[in-house]
This record gives sequence, structure tokens and C-alpha cells, in this order.
Amino acid sequence: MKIKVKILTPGGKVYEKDADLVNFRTIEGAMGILPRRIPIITHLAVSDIEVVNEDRREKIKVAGGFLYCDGKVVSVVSSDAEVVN
Amino acid sequence: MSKGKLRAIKKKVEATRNLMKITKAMEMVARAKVSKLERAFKAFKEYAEEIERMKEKILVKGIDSPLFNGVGDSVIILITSDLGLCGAYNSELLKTAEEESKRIADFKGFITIGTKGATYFKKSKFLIEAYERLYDFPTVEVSSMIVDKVMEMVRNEGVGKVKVIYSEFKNALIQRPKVINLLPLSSENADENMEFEPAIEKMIDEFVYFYLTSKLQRLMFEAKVSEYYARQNAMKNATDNANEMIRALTLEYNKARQASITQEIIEIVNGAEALKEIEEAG
Repeated sequence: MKIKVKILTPGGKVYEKDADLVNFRTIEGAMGILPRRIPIITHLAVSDIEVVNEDRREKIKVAGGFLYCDGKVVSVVSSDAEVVN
Repeated sequence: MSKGKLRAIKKKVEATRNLMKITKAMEMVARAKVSKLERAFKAFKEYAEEIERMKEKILVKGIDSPLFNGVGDSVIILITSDLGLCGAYNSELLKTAEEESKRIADFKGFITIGTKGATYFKKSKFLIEAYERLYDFPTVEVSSMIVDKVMEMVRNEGVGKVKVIYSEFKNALIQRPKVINLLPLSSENADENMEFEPAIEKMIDEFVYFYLTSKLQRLMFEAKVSEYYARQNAMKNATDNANEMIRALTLEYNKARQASITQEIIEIVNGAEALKEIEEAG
């Protein structure tokens, strides 16, 4: 069971992939989301979102914004975001 | 048929032809711009719709703020265009705005975006703030500037209800004025079990601001797409009409030319006949 991660900005979709775990920072501190989590809405800090899979980790920088998770999909809306290689 | 009439028709054809050049250019500009704008709008729409979904989930029951209870005066944000030559686009919006403002009981005034709305309501006492020539491409800076103004009015001037009138984009041929409620925010579909981090009370102001700016920017985008399509259609009609007019005038010109030639031949023949008769008599 994986969780889908999508990151949206005013300029379009920046990122969309499946993940085992998503790590990020809210304005109050660090958090992680696993598949089948209870629905949550968080206010993101200007930070990196880390998308973790068995074989690799990817980082996406976001300029704040909000994150919504319904257990199957994690969607992030931010005024700006960029995938870090 | 006189030469004067011929010249007059020729002048008319020239004038129509020049006008057609302008309308054709306007149509082409609108067409070129709209494809770029539509691409940006499509990308933005996905983002705005996700925020809209999040808004639906946020529980706003029990939070005592004019943002949610709708206590206070009504304000209408009217999005019109900066330029004309787009058919009935602006006049339909202005008519809807007039009607809507009369329907609302505690109407306070208009915030207009675009020159046409500002000019129309300049003399009325209902114009609160007019924004003109702000953007060709809606940006977050513009929408947040307007949301700032709205929030200030909610906080300090007893405004509780905000409506937006804009031109809804149905398809390339149909754009219609639409009235939507921006404030108060409703909580019909809110999810009772939703968790928030940080707590909802701490987050709600930021979220509402974020939501309103994206919503307004989305509406400005849609209005702009509608405007360009309206202009494209209006200018296409104008070009077609000019073409038809040129055809009719050219026909009239040729008829007149033919008539004047015939007239001249008759005169010459008659003259020759008369001379012949005089010679024969002599």
C-alpha cells in the first residue's frame, strides 16, 4: 500500500508520484504521513517535503502553503515549489 | 449617374476596407493571446480546485467571525475588462451588476476591477474602490491586493457578505455574467473528523486568505479568457460584416459606373445623330 503525493502550484503540477512515507515540516514542527492516515490539513513551513520510497528519497522545496491528506492522496498547494535533485 | 457619386462610393469602400484591417488585426491578437492565457488558466485551475476541495473539508462551524456568519453589509466585486471592442461583454456584466445591487437589501457598494466598470459607476455613490489596468495576466499580487482590501473592510467597516460578478466561460461562443458568493464561507460539507496541524483556530485566518486570493485569481483568469473569446467573436463578426459591406458597395459602384458609361454613349450617339440631321437638312 502506497500513498500518492501531488504538489500543485499556480503554474501547474510540479510533482506526482507514489510514496511509502512523506516527511515535511508544518509551522509547528516536523511530521510524517503514512498510507491510510486519518484525514488532516496542515499549514506548511517554507521547507523541504521528503518523499520516501524503498529505493529512493526525493526532496521538493515548497514556499509554505497547505497540505491535505485523505488517507490515499497527499496533496500540497503552495505558491511555489521545485523538485531538488 | 454623376462622377461625384462614384467617388463617394469608392471612398466608402476604402474606409470599410481600412476598418476591416483593424478588426481583423484585433481578432488575430485576441486569438493569439487567448491560447497562451488558456494554457496558464488550465494549470492554475487544478491548483485552485485543490484549494477549493480543502476549503470544503475545513470545519467552520462555531467560529465566530464575520467571515463565516455573514453578519454585515454586502459588497460586490465586479470584474470587467480594460478595453472595449468585445461585443456585449461589458454591458451584460454592468447590467447584471445593476440588477444584483438592487436586489440586495444591505448593499454597501462596488469594488470594480477593470476600466469599464470604474467608468460606469464613477458617478454613483456606490463605488468603493476602482482598480484599473492592473493586469493582462492575473497574478497573485493583484488578487492579494484586492483580498487585503476586502479583509480590511470585513474587519473595520462591518462588511459580512461579498459577491463576485464575472463572466463565466462556458465555451468559445458563450460567455455569461455569473454571480457567486465569496463570503461568508459555508460549512455544509465540512468533515467533522478532520485533524488540523496547527489547531484550526490558529490556521484558519491564513487559510482563508490563501483561499480567497486563489479563488479571486481564478475568477480573474476566467473573466480574462471570456473577454478574449468575446473580443475574438465580436471582431470576427465585424470583419464578416465589413466584407459583406464591401461586396455590396462594390456592386453598387460597378452598377453606377456602368450606368454612367451607358449614359455617355447615349449622349454621344444622340449628338452624332443630331449633327447628321443638321448636315442632311443643310
